[in-house]
Amino acid sequence: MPASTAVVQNGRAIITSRLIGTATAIPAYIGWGTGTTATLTTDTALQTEDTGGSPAYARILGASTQTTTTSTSDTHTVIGTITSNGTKTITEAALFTVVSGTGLYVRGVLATAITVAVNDSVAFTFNVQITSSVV
Amino acid sequence: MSDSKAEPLVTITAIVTRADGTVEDLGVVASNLSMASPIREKLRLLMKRDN
Repeated sequence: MPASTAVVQNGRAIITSRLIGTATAIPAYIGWGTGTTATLTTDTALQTEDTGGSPAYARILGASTQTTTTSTSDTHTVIGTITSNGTKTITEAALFTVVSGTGLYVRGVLATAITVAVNDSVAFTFNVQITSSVV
Repeated sequence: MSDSKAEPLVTITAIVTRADGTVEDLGVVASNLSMASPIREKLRLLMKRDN
């Protein structure tokens, strides 16, 4: 399963909205799912977001910070942990602005599936580095 | 010397903690930094004016 990830088109709008100070929330909700179709910039959701289980699956709010990859504070980092409520094979993860529904910012299809059982947890770190070039 | 398809640069890492406490660091599980093109990546790093 080849990995793929990107800031999707809706994510570009989230960035520009945040820059002009409009009401779009910080994209810090982490979700996971079982879809394996490669990421497209036109994606608006996880392919097959997790559902159900007990306690019910829900996106978790990660900790969102500015970090440095190449130049000072050039990277948005979101760290959060999802605890599994059952046996699942996780193949995709994403960042959203909201706890449910739309608001997709980044989607990633994982290079290797993560098989989890109840009470296993996965700590995800999303790094989105903003770069610029002189050509 | 830029690859507009790879910007912004996204990297996702994962660490699994099993219910019994066993920790598995999976490292990078997804990235749009092209690992299939190490020469291009080296060039990107060398072109300091790109950063």
